[in-house]
Amino acid sequence: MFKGKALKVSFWLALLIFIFLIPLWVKDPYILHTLIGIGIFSIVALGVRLIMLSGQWSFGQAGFLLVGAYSSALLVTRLGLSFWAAIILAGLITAVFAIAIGYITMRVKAVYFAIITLAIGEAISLSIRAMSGITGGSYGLYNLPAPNPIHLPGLLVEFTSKTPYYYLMLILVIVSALAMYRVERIRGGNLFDAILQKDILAESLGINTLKYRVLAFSVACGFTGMAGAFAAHYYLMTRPDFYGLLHSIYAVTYVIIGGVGSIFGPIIGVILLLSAVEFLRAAAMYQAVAYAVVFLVVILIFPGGLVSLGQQLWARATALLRRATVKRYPEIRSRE
Amino acid sequence: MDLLVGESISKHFSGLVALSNVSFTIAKGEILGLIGPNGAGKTTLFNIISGVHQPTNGKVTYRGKDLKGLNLHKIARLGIVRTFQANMLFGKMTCLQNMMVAHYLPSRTRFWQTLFNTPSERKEMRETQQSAMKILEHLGLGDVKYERAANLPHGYQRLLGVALGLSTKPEILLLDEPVTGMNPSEIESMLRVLKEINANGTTLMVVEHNMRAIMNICDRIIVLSFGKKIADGSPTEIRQNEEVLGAYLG
Repeated sequence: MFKGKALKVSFWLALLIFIFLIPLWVKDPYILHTLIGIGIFSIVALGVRLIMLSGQWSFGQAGFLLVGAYSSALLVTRLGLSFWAAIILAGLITAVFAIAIGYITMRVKAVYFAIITLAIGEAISLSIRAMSGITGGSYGLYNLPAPNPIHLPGLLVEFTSKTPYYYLMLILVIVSALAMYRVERIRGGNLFDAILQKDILAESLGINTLKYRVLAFSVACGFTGMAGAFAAHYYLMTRPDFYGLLHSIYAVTYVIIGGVGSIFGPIIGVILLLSAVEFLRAAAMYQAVAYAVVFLVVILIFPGGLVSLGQQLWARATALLRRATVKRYPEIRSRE
Repeated sequence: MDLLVGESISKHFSGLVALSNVSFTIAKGEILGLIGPNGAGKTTLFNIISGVHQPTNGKVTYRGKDLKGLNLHKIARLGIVRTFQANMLFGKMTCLQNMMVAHYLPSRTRFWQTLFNTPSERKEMRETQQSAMKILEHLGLGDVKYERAANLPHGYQRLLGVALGLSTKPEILLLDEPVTGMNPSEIESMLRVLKEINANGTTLMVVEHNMRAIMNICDRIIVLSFGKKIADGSPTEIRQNEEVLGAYLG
């Protein structure tokens, strides 16, 4: 009667439909703008989680957002490519860049890798500033074109309001989440789990752990680059200080607060913290302090993040529901 | 035919000589024992063969191929697979999940198939699962296949370690102290398993402290003492070797 899986699937389906319908009744551009920002950082946080699953910590994701943003901006303004080609190429460029960096730096693990990525993130930003001939230096690139209109039979989508951007972002988040989920589930999900638990044993069984770590890193960075490209053509500009060290650190906190255990964890973390920022606009200067407090509270009280709390509540709720049903219809028990 | 040949291998750890000038051969199909007092360099030799360490001098060749510069997973791919001394398992996974990971090399799915979870990949995973179950049943671990590896008793963990190595379908299986810390009945079942593995064509190299066990199963034994090879021969010869007795009795 209460199959856990059917209940779960219908819950997520309902949620997805709800998210798709938001622009129909939310006309306030400010709220849509906030939701789009949440989308951008959801992709970044999903990437951070994938990297964590391979046993690494990246504190340089802002740098990869910039790589994507500048790749796309330059491809469109200098080479005259359409936005749609540019965003995909920007993702590929960022992924290839991450592969090159990954193969060199992933010989060190965890904290050491975190320090290297932190430096790389800053180095990217500084390099963009230094290459002012191409990148416009500290001023950045302005007057970037919006995405080219989509002509479909019976439908013309022009990127003049927030709504089409909202849907584009939503599609990007869903595609990124599905792609990263596939990577995570390689060989039934056991492979990354094995690498995370005992990498030397995995090596001794013939698994090239470096290869899979680089794979996770490059997929994560590739989608982050696409998010950066999206951002450049949403804000119609990009600057080297647009995404900095603080954003990289926030990206990690979103994942930890939301929970690493589920692919929804990072998204929940982003939604919670970014909407909190919007509610507390007036106290923006205390943002970092507020993050630190929330971070510590979550770490101390629910080390698995908010998702683990949700999973526990869910398990308890379905158990209660099942017990109530069995009480009312005792014949179910025999079928279970 | 000599499958694996080590020629005058030396290993120095910043001044400390762990191995000096050790040569050895392993013939296909034999069980070679490696014994010696603590600190004799047995595990170091294992680490060099399996690619954890590179030798300071000398070289290891497998079927005529120099193993220089190859790391752990590349050597495993060639067919030389090791088990570890400590209980090196994926502790948070069930036995079956451990085995699924260990089937990485023999299962035929390619990277893109596993990424997109194609029907052939799902079929392959089912076959892999059957093979994993078969090995677990065979080693007497069938009843605990859904237990977490970390929760198993010591003897079972050791067996699972061997099962993991076996899953890769190795040519040579290097076993680091397979019966240490086991009770007599566990030792007996482990030795039976090792003999069966060998009878099925896998060459074994065993490091062990338990003399009775090693004398029981090995065709040939190499004795190391303070990083040097002091004897190489059949169990009977080793038992009567003066130098070996000296090394063990002081």
